[in-house]
Amino acid sequence: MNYLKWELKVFFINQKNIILFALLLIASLYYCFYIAPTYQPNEAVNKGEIEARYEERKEFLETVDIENSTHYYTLFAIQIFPEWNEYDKERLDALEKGDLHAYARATQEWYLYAVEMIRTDPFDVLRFNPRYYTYGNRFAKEDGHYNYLYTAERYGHYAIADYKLDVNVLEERTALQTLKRMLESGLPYILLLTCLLLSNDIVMKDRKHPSMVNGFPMTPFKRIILKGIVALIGSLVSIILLIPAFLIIGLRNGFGSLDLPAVTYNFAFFNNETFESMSMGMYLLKYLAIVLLWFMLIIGLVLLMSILLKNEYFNLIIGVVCFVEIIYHQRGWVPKEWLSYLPTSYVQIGDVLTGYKNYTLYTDALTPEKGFLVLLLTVIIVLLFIKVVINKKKMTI
Amino acid sequence: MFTLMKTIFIVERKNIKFKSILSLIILFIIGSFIYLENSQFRELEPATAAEVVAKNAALDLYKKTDATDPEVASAIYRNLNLQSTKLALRSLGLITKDDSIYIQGAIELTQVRNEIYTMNGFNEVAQYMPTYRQNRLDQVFYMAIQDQNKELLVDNSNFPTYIILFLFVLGYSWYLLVGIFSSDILLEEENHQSLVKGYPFTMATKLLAKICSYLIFIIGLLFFTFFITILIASIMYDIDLTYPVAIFNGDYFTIAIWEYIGISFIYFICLSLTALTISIVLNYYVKNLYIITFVHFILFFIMQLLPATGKWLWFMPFNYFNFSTLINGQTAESAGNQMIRLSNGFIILVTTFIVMLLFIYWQFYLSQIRHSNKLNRGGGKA
Amino acid sequence: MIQIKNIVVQFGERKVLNGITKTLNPGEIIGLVAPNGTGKTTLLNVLMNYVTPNQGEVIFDKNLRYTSKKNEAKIRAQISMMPDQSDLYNHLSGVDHLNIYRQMWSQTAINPEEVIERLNIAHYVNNKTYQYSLGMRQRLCLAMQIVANTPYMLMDEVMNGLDPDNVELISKLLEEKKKEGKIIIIASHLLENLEKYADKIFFLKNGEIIYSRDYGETLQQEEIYLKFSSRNNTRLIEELKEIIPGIKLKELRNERVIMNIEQFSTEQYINVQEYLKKSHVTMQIGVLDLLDRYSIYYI
Repeated sequence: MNYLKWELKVFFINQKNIILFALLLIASLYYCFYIAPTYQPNEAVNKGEIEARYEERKEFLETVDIENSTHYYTLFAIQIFPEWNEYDKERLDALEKGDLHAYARATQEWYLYAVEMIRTDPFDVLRFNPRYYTYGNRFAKEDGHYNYLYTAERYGHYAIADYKLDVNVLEERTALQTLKRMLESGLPYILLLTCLLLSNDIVMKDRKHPSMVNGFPMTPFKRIILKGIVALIGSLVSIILLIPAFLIIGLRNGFGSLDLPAVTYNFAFFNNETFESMSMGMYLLKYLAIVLLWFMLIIGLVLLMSILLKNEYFNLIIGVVCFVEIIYHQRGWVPKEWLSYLPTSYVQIGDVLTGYKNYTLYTDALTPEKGFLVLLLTVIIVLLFIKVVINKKKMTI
Repeated sequence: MFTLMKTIFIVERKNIKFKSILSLIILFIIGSFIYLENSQFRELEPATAAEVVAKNAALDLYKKTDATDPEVASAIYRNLNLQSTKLALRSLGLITKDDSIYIQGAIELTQVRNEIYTMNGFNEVAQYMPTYRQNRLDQVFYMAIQDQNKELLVDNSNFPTYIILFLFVLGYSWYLLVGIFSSDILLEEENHQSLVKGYPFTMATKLLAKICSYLIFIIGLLFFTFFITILIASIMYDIDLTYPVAIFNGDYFTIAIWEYIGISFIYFICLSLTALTISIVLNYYVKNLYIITFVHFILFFIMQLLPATGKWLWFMPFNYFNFSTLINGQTAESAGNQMIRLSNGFIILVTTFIVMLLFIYWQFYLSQIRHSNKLNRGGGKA
Repeated sequence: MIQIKNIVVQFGERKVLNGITKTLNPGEIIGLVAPNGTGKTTLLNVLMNYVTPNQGEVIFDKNLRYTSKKNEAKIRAQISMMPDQSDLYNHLSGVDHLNIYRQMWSQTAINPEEVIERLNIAHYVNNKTYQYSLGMRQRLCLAMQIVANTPYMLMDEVMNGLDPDNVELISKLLEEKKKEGKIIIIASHLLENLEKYADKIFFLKNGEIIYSRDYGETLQQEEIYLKFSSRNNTRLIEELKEIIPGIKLKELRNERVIMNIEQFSTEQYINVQEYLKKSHVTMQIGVLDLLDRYSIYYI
């Protein structure tokens, strides 16, 4: 215990670690003040847009004449617009009344209808929200499809929600939803790299005073494991440092509820996929579990490399594991099944949890359960390796 | 000085730092080939399809009207419709596997597009278009292909595409790599002071020897990296050193791929020199390896975080640390200053290097001479 | 030849060296004696120009001074200081270290092989240094300096961590080097050994040389003392005071009691001796040795 305390103390007065913590804090504050407010969801609550569409289609339906020569596009429109406009009408009325539950119900119907119509559109004239079709986006249609169904799923939950609804919840601007969004973009990389940089020198620093530390009365393996625990605690502190930013966003946009839906996608061929939800609380718990495994993996690798190669620079190369995925998980191809047994495939934890990763790669191989097992096994193997190496080398650090 | 470099070599030869940087490079080379195999990087079919979709989305913003009638249709709408026909030409070229149709369509498309950037209401369709810079790069590229009778590279398993990818990634990371690698260039000696301090050489010689040895290693590393990648790429794909690459240097034009390789090689050396001298100065003032590394990172990312600084401070070296975004004009575009260009990059990096060198000379050499002169006079009196 | 002229080094208010002036000649081993933290190392640092003195100067050979970086390099080719053992490169072998020093002082250096053999370090010198014990490191550091073979050699606590065999070995080597005409300055607190091979010994205190001894010169008349030491010094002193009232004696820090024999009449002298004999105490008669002086000066 004393050794743990001593290592913790050294860890938290380490100049490099303090700098890292400070940088992380500054970056998170920068994010919550400058970047988070500029977030503009593609599927926003936009009364003007709904109204414009509704009026335009209404006018069209009222003025159109059907003759023999009527273009089949027009006929198609006459067929599908009435029901579609019904939903828009309901949405407008709900917004007018300020009944967000009713709005959510109608919006869910709207999106489901839109997806169905676009899917069955025989002339390929219907399109998703134009915001997906930006220059250079080769997957605009897929993005639209996913986001429409995603939106429909979560609006379905809002419709029956017993927590307070407001526009911030609908547009996913609350603190919890912002956190979730971050967890599905760059944050996992930042957390993992921070963990690496924090633990980078945890073994190597002892080389500067070997006579002092080599004599501590415990087995080298135990000492290494305790060091790992210290690094793990330190890495968790880096998560705690995100709390101020979380609080600020929460005070501004509301915190959201742990019952909020976190939509997951289940792969099936031919657009027969299903969308389900778990609660935000469950999502965060699962996320934490996998992040912990990742931290353990990275720290384990640092420990292993430290006793094998004894160099801080080499430890930095471990950072590569965060980016290996990029070279083989490319949108546009179905990756080979065996790649899903690599721990590196699970670096984008959020996208694995929600199934978005599977969606973009047209596969069902990357499940959270498999990811958990693969990472757990890797951690165990790394730990065993450390044990073997220490026994073999009669380690002196 | 030569003996000193030999000594540095003895000391550093077994330094794992060097091995780790080498293994990183090797990992990078392997990764780049796997990446290219799996990615749609610079593949024409998906790119063209995406362009069609984006253009259609832009057209959807306007009510369908007669595009040929200037009375009814706005200029931008007419331009978009014109783009449609040119894009169709490109798609046709791909379907019929006829390079010349595609190239013709591509050139005409870029010409039509060039006009849209100044039209009223362009901002509304901006996100469905390439930027002016991207369009101009495309233009000069396809014109060069047409002039030189080069074949169109439809998929990406070929030498020029690999080299472009490889230099893009390396150009992005080279400054940081050298910066991190040299961030303890003098600190390392602090652990061996009593050994090193008494060497019978002047500080200037010592520093020069340090810089030279690091430079030799870095150039060696560059040679190794370039040689290996070019070798593997030319075995895997057919080597073609004359294929044009579009670049920005105040103006948009193409150069042959061998020139591109040569320019990047020399530029990387200039970058290395600058990074080395910055490391030395940082080492002099800051004694913490990690802080020095962070400073390098900050210097590198200033341009990305605050692109507006480049508008007024275009002559500052940090605008030129990212080779990839410099040579394709992205830096100039985001900073809004055309002065941030390759040739200025060379001049400014070399100037920075010389200024830093003079500064180091002043710091380590002249200041000490002054000190000892003063001392001498004081000592004489006593 | 090294001329040290009026060196003053001041850190803030504290004068670490206060006007040291000495001339050192080729073929001398100089012992610089003082407890830790009294300016020994500072003086060596001034000689190396690691510390620039506030006043005074050091002149090497005829008139080489630390006036410019060029001169510094010139002087450093002539002078070397033994490296600290903590400064060795862990990832390099002993031979690597010797080679580095040979290259650095290529004008004067001798073949490392000779030195390896002479210092008896061949059995470990090919290993990387992180495996070395303290003594092994110490011998490697000395070996490095011997390889450099500069005319002036500065050594700080050279005998630290060495067993008696090696102390003997190194003492002999130093004497050989002295005969080659080198100036060797040793800062140390291991007095007994210094006395055996040093030609001059300086005691430093309060930034000044408070005592110097030149073994090359014949001694001037020095006072003769009766000295004894035992576990019961206090009791013996009390009793001696009873036997000879008004006796002048002094108990040193090294637990020796000294009495100037000039003060005794013949009778008193015999009485004292008889008494000490009876108390089974070993006595010595002679001048003060280094250890005594050390104890006198550094309390």
